[in-house]
Amino acid sequence: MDEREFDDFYSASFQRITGQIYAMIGNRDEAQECVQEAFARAWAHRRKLDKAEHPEAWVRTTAYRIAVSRWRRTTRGRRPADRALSAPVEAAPPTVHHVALVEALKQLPEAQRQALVLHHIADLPVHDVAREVGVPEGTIKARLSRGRAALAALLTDEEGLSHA
Amino acid sequence: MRDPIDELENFDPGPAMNPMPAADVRRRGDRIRRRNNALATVGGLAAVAALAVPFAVFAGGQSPSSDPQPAPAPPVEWVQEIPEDFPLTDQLPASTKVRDGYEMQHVPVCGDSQTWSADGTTDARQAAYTGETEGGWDRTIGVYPTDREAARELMRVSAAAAACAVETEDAKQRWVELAQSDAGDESVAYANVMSDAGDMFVVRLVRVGNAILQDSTYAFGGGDPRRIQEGVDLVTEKSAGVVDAMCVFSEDGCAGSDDGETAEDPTIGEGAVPAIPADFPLGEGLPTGGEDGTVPSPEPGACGETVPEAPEAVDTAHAQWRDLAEIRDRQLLTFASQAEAEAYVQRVVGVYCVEEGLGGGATRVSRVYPGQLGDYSAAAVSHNEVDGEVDPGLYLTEVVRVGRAVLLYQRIDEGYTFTDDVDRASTVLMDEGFTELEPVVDAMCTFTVEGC
Repeated sequence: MDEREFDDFYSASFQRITGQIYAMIGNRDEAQECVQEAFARAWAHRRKLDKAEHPEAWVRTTAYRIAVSRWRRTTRGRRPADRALSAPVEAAPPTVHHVALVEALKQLPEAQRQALVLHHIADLPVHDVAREVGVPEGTIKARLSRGRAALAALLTDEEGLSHA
Repeated sequence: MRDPIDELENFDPGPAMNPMPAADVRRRGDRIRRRNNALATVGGLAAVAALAVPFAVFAGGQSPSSDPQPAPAPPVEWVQEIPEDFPLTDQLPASTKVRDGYEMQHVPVCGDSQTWSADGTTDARQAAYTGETEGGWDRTIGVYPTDREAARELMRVSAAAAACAVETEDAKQRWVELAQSDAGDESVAYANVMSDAGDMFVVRLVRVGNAILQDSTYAFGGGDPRRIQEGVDLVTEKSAGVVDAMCVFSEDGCAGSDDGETAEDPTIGEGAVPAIPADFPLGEGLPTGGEDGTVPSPEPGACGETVPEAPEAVDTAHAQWRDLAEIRDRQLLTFASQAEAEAYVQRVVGVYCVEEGLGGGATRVSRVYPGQLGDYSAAAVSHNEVDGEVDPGLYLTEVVRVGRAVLLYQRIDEGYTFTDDVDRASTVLMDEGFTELEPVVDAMCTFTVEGC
């Protein structure tokens, strides 16, 4: 992969992958930093990326692992959140529904949240989700089923509270 | 009620982002690459190789470099010949040919010195199959005078493969990629990739006692880590019966391969000790004072990997001391068997890599060291660097197995400052940790068959 191919790949997929990681971890700025770091690693290992069947999946998996690792270090009380790689973005205020969905996703177990995001937001078939996560298809189906039920309950609770 | 699927499939991540320019991302990637290569050179290829290969190279109660046992044990009579009925061709086609000795069937990327050769063995036997439409299979077992020679040879091959992987990273034709393997007393796996087309030889070596088993097979998918790992997993599956039969070369032979412990026989120590005794001195040696209450134990992890909890643990206990800048956390876990305890230990040490980018020019650097306590012990010490400058703070993880119990110790010291070089400070911290744990490890004898 030469520089131009990498730049095209980066431009075409950065926003999409960041949105998916944001849905997985619930923090947009953190998602952006993790995805940028994953792309930096992708360039460092570009020969492997050339051979990978699904380079976007490689970047997304790497970004997710970085995010999980950084989150765990932060919650342990270690060094504060790492320095941003780029200037923070002044985002428009999110809608009520958007906030509710992100908050609901954050309350799900990590495994269910990841499966839901990969299948419904990244639009991967169950088989590809199983391959990316590294578990059997049956496990992914169970996580999707339980995750959807849990998410529905959380969104229903939130709706009831907001209408109270 | 809102439809969760509808909500997910219409998820809007928000307005357009302002990512770092692609050129800056590539510059960051080039720094990562240069730093990885520098570590391989400055640290010595052998040192990087020792960290790059699965830590199972140091597994087992006796490493080739360990000091003699305090109480001399009776000499082991190692089996020197491969039994006539040894199932070397298990799960291989009927047309597989068997011969004494060994002749290499795969192509080593970095020359013959990179690979295993059966030199120094007292006996060797090879089974080779050449497929007509798919890749062949070559399986060889070699027996050494003692386990130390076998372990030394496996360590040499591990280091050579890792060094070759570093050396050939930029190669367009022929390179080595390492893979994960966890079998026998210790094991190593890698792929010799022959070309951009992805044709490769998957090679896996396993040591049990004083014997080494090498499997190699021709496959496609070189360059894709998942395909390489799939190849190794296939090798593991097809040779599982052979590895089991290698118990004949272990110190206790096949009759003693489970150390007399079975899931049906949970008796350990004097009488049955199914739970961690309430008066077990897990907190002995921790500082006094500090902050009240405890926080959840840190979860060992690095390099984007975390070690999950151990749902298979029979019982757990926890002790902790903390103040504003430091946490010392101890977890004691017991398992139904030594094998499960050992598997958990390998999961813990297996997550550490040499370097992990944290973003913004920051890097976490880790070193893994073998220990001397208990039946098996190891330590990982990590520190942070920002643009090459070492930050204060050291992070220590130590794991000790005694019998079927594992002591997991983590010390997070944000303020740890050192005037010596960081490597010396790391070993000092590691020694402090092991010294602090000695009274606890002594008490863990209750989790062995012999008891205290």
